Amino acid sequence: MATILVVDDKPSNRSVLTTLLGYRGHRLVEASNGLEALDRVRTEHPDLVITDILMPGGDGYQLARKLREEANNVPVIFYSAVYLEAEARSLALACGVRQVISKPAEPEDILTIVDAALAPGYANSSPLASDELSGLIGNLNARLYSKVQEYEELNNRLEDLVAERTQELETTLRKLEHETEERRRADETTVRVRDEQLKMKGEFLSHVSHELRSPLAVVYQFTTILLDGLAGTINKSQREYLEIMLRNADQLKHMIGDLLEASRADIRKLAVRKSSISISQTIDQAMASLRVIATTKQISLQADISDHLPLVYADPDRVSQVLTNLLDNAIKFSQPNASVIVRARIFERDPKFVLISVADCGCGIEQDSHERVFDRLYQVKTAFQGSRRGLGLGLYICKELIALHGGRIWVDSHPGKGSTFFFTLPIFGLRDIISPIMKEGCRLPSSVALITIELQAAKASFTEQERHRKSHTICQLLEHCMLPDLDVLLPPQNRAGRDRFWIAARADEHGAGVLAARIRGQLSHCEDLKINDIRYSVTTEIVNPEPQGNSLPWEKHVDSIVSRLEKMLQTDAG
Amino acid sequence: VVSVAEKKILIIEDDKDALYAMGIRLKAHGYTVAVAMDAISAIGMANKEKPDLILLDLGLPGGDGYLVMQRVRRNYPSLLMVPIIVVSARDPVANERRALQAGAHTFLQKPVENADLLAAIENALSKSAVHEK
Repeated sequence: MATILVVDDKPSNRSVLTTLLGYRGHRLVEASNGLEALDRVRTEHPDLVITDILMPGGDGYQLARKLREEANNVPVIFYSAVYLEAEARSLALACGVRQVISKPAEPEDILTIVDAALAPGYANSSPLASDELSGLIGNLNARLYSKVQEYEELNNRLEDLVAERTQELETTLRKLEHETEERRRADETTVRVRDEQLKMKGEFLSHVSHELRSPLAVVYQFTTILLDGLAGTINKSQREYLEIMLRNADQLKHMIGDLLEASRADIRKLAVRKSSISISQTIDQAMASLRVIATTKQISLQADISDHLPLVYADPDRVSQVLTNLLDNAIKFSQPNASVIVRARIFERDPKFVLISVADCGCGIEQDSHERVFDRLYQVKTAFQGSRRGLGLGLYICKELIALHGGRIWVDSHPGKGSTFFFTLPIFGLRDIISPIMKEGCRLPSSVALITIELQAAKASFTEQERHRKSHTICQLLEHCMLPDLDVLLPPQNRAGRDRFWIAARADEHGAGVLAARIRGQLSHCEDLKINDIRYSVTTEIVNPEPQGNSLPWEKHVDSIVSRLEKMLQTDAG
Repeated sequence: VVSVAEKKILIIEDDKDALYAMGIRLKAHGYTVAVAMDAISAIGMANKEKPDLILLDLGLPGGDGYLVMQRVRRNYPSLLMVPIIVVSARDPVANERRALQAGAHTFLQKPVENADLLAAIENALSKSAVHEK
């Protein structure tokens, strides 16, 4: 293979050629200017010289000229920028160089030209005489330099242009970022404004309901004063009219309550106090409160409740509110002599729930409204067009309340045949509240203690509200004694005037003793108990898992503890 | 058992219609009634009248019902055992617990059914009667 000398002041240009030709198997020698190239020619004796034309410290044409002067016949190829091609060709001609490669050139073209130059019989053409040449060179040089300047100017302008475009791009980018940020902020503001509006609406409704209640209370009071004959005897018609007034005042009261509830539901602030409750008892109470209205309309209220239904985990007041609402609707849409039936049984599709239904034989609801009846402010088109239809909030509140219990509410209805509203409530499970305190992954299964706190009033009986308040106070007091991750308060019970509270604690005998002592200490300082002369007792009991407990997997261990606890609570309550 | 006729109830209520109605109702049931229509005079009235029970509205001119409860409880130890029943149109969610913690015996939301009001009064009076013994 041949030895090729590559002359260029730019290393990157040289490397393009050396890489390409080296790949072909040629030996390559490099020089960065004409003078250096002359030395290399003398020492390396290349078979071919490929040179740039414009280089500091010895131009390409000087090199070619020198080589001719030295009678060195090595072939020379000019390798020159494309915009100088015409000039390069004139120069080449003048120097006796036959080939010119324009930068950038296709590798294949380069190889073709190089191969041709290396072929035997390739010869440089004879250069022009020196006087002819000097004129030409002077002329060419001038044009070359002007071209270079032009090029540099162009290059500068290009660079300016690029800088300008880059600047523009950056500005656009920044603008875009700014806009994105603004949009994000706008979105945030929208959310904030929405929250603010909801809050304001809530406050407004709360205020309005308060303001409406006060005059309503006065209307109620004076109506009852007249009805009760406190202002003199009234005749039959007067009584009838006053009773109508009273009934309407009552409706108004419920509407005001619904308004407030709906605004609470909007901001997810409906209060629900869950405990273990008997659903049949709650149904009985709700039915009792509506019996008078049902009887007036000659509608029979019936209950069909499965025996031995388990307790559900729910707020009794809220469940009663839902039932009352459904019953009220059922009665409202029923014709005289029809019946309304409340059913309760285990939910077959998901036995962890109790299914409660309220069925009427009223006008029914069109299929396409089945979902929408639970929407806020939705009104079913009824046969009683023009008569009072209410606010359209009742079922919406029911839906929100049932959802807060983890249940579901829906309707099955056929126009002309009647509607059945269904809802589900979760069955109370001791396991759900016990398992969090039984730490999984412990080496030894944890032992659980049951602490029973029993209160018994010596003399006075309490109203429902007082009892509720007392129970709340005690729960707070007990929670104060408990450790959040180790102890859990089980639903309290009230049976025959005795209040029972239970704490399940992940503790051994010693730990349970400490907890019981702390509870006794707190109870002994409780003013509420002293004032009402209530006696208390605190007992502890260790809930041992089954004998094979130590080898049981965690799940089974929890199951066994839970079943033990259930038995203990049952005997305790019995 | 102390007869109802000997029991005096102080009604603290700024709505004069409501006050009028409540007065008629309570007198009809044999109670003696004293009234106050703002927070400041209510506090003085409580001390002067020495009522057996106080019915208290929460929204009052010159300070609210909570202020009245606080002052009555703090300034007049002799009134410490006088039960206070709060009767307010305000939201029980926000006010019931607060009222009970401030020393109210019961919280009733307006409009109150007559039966509920009378039961609460009787109950509160019977509790304080037990206590006096």
